[in-house]
Amino acid sequence: MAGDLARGRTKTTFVRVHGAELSAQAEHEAEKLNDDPVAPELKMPIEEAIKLAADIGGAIDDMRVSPQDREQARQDEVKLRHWAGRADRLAETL
Amino acid sequence: MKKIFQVALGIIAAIGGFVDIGELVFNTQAGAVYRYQLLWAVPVGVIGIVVFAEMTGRVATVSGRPVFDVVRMRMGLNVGLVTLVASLLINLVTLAAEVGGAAIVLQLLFDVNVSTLILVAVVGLVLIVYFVPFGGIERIFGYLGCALLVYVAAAVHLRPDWHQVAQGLVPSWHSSALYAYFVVGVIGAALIPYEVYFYSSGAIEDRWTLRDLSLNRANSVLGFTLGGILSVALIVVAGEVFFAPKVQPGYLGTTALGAQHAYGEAGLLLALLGMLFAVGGAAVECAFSGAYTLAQFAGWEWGKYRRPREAPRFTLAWLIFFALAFVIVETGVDPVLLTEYAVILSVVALPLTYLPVLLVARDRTFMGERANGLLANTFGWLYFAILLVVSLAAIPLMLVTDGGAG
Amino acid sequence: MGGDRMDLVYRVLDDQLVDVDGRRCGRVDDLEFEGDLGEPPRVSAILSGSGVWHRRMPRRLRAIGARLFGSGVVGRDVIRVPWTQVEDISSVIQLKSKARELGLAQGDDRDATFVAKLPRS
Repeated sequence: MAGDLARGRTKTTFVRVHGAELSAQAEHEAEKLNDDPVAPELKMPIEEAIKLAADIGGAIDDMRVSPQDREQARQDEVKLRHWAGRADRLAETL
Repeated sequence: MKKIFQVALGIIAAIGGFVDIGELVFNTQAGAVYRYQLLWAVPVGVIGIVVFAEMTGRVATVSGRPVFDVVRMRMGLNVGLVTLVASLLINLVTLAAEVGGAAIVLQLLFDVNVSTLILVAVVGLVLIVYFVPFGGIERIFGYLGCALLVYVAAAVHLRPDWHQVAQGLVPSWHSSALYAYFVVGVIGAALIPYEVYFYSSGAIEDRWTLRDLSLNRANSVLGFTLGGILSVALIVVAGEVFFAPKVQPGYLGTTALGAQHAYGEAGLLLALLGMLFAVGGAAVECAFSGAYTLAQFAGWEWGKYRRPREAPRFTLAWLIFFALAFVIVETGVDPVLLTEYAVILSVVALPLTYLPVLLVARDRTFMGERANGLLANTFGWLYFAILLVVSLAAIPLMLVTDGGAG
Repeated sequence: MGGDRMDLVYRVLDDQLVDVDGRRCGRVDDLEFEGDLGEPPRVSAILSGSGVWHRRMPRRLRAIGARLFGSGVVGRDVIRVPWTQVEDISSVIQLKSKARELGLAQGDDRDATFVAKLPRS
């Protein structure tokens, strides 16, 4: 979605609505990770996962607030790709 | 010449009307999780609906009996009542899913509060159905639903590995419950029962004669098959866009993203427009299918071409179904979740309506020389076996995989 | 009544009733037989209405069935249509009179007054 936004290939309403769904889910996942009891050796990765979810949600919300800001979207695209890769690797270790 | 044109239009409407929210949800997820490995399940489902529809169409034409007349007559009151209640409940869940889906698509287009859009969707659909003649309704929703063909274009445009796609069309097996769940889901999403009940009632209302039988049969085979191509395209696009980044599509917006990825804003708009009318048309068919089911079982007057006061209980039935669906969706339940339940439960109940139709279609006392021949019997019983297996496996698989969450 | 004729009669069960105007007006929900003991039974009437359903349900469910669908009060939840009213038996049971005269399709008549208030009904 960020990529399409950066290249001006999408609709504002779509970004706002679908973005809201996705960021709400990121927040929900973060809350679940936070609230569930956790074994001590997993504490560090879980905290990183929570931070990732928060970062991802934040980037999506930035795009929703200013969908016309293509430069921001371009940067968000790069950041989101990086975070997605990080989340993948985290998921594998957990 | 005019007849060919009419047939072509009928097929176009059938393509646009083939996809409903079940396919939008399940095929996107299937493509995202398993890429092309579930493609073979689509033809299995499409051939299934062709077999079922062919039999119900033939039974309706020759014996004048639509599906729930057959169910009541062949299975008797008690089994018939169980089938009726199950079908009506599943129908209601499906209708709620379609209405909820339409509201979500409207929201993606207009960013208005979803509660209002649910009301807009229901009121809009009821008004259209009530005031527009039915031939027009089927054409409007069918033609505009064809905007979803953007997915076929996208599937080609995204240049998938065609070798892998071809391999996906050959049945393969993975001993994983999640894979089996998606096999059930993709087949179930294609083998839509309410579409068949609607089709059989239509055969009687349109007064199909023995002479039209082969034409109507060809029409439906072509329509369902081309619709199936659309379903395949949904999986391919999802496979191209979501598999690599390991996206798990849980939203209709994600499905739309697939078209946007290929064609940008135009792709997005076509996808959303197509979804809106495909799902809206499905909602109408679903509501009427429920009304047909109830009216036919009870013996009331029914008919989509009838004036409301000529078939009062039938009219009240579909209006009440829309009202109930409205209530269900307004409680805030996720339409994607409703869709998953609707498809899985439909599959579970499918043998209950399929079997009586098969038994009557083979029965010479009802069908005369139009009873099932060797081909129809072979496919008829083969699919009964498939449906039975799928029906028994569906709920256990849904529970084990936690609704496809793996 | 011989075996085949009994089958024919049972074939009528659960079939659609259609009146002289072609109006659908219910189903054959049960049949009434008459005849003294020792004589072969004859069908004397069609019973149409959900009030007779409970009699056909499994014994344990009959009480609930009667509560849900009616206990068989003639004129209210079941209508008796004399067999002499049957004109023809094909994929539907064609009747000789109008549904209203026979007391059938009361539900539709009743709801029609409400539905008639809707625009363009």
